Amino acid sequence: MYRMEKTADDAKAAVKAWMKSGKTAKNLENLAEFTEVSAAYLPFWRLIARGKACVCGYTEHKDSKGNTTRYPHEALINREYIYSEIACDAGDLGVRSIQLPENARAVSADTADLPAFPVTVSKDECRENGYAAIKKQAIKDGGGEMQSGEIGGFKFKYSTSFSKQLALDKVTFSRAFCIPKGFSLIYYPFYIVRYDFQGRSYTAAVDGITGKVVSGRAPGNAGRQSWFAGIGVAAAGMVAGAATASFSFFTGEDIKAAIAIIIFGYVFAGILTAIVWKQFRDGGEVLTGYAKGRGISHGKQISMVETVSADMFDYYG
Amino acid sequence: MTQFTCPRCGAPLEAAAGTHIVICPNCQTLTYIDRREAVFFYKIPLSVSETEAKRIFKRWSAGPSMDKNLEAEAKITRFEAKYFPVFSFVRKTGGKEAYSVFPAKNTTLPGMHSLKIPPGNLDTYTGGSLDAPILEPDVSLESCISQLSGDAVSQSIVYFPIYDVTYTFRGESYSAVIDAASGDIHPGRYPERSSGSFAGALAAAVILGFAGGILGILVHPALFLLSAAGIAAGKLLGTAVLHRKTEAAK
Repeated sequence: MYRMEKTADDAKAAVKAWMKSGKTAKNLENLAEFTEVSAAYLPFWRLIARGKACVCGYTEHKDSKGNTTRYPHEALINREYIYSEIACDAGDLGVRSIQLPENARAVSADTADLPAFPVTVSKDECRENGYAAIKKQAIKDGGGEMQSGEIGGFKFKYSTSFSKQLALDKVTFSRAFCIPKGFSLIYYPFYIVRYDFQGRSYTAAVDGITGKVVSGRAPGNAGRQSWFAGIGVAAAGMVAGAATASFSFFTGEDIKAAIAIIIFGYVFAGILTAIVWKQFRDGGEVLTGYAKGRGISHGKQISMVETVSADMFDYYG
Repeated sequence: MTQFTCPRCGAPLEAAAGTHIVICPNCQTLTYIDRREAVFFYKIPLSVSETEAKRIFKRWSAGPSMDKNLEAEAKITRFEAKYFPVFSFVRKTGGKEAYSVFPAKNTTLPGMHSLKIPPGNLDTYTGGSLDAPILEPDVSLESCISQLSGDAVSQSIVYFPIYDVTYTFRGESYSAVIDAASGDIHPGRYPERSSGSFAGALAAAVILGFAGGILGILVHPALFLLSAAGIAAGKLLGTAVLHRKTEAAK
């Protein structure tokens, strides 16, 4: 069990600061009324393990003549990872995992004396989830395969790799191992903050050690949504229109340049429209962490797998 | 209900969730509890008040997926707190521990068939009345056990608090369940909002923007103003699409 380092007032201040994001309803920090701030110790299964992976594949490069050259690569990953997963149903709290900060102080305490939630998720299931997640992460760190994506009809490729060294176009072989070093159940402190706004009740969870808002939901900013609809989409339309009109200025061999401009204009307009659509359609609610429901995200999600030591023992060739 | 007494002095014992050793409050004797055969009774306290739960419902009804006027026009016809029973099993299969949860009562309430035990303190339930009516189990424990494989580690009945909500909207009746421990909502079927009006507002803005872009270049730069009109149209239509009926209007 880890010691609560923040007070209820700190938690309220953190939520107020979080409310000031431009995505949330205007003046939310002044109009919201806190109705409850309660401490809760949530259980987490935590796996510390060494992840080793061997990833082989190649990158492809096209020259100006259209010839494709493949360059083979190999990566050997040897890193330490920590996997954490909540050991009870998170309900509406939107918390899935934790990252222990440096100032976390472990204390011995009886869970019966504290508002600690009981474990209702199997440790074996979590351990296996942890092994799988660490192996996947190790392979990803070794040069994750290029993935195909699409936004607003625009298709593109992106790498799942976090390493700067490699972003393979094709992985031909990969194998990973997970060597466990420790597996434990820990209780981590949170503040559950409930507040009312326009007669509606919203919840946020604040990390009891760092004082950061790790999950929560807030009403969206309708003014921002409608401005997005106006400026964003009209700008997208204008760019697409201007790109189309530019066609009339090109003749003969320049037609290729005209087509390139049109494609660029439409791609840009498509991406902009997709971004605007998300903000306009779902902006009525702002979600942080793993809060359920339809809304736009704000802030970072705590990843289930944390890399402790990176690059020190890795090999890229 | 399983009753425990101290084998030494006969005083009643309470076994907290997950514990195997109980210390007698009277004579301090340690007793080991074999949970494989016994059924333990627990409850999760009702920690979300009715007022709070109604505000949670209101927040949910104002969400982006719900009909625009659901928040203002939904009429709550039933809002009852209850303790719902579930069987919780911990079994060992092939050396691995597995948790399973089954509703202990036949029900049509939304969300009760994909159950998880909500987050909250598990208190020992020693019988008697609680702060809300208790729904008694009508599903036999054996029928659930027969669906499980492996060896029993522990089994219990957990009563967790819910608000059973029924509301009407434009002549139709809907139901939802609010988990009264964490405030999570299980909505079942609900009046959804189509994306058509959102798309319409954007279409008007994009058409004007497109016309401004193309005509501003081909005909006269002044026609770029059409794009500015697109911004205004998008803003106005967007505001109209997002505008909700207020309580006063209702």
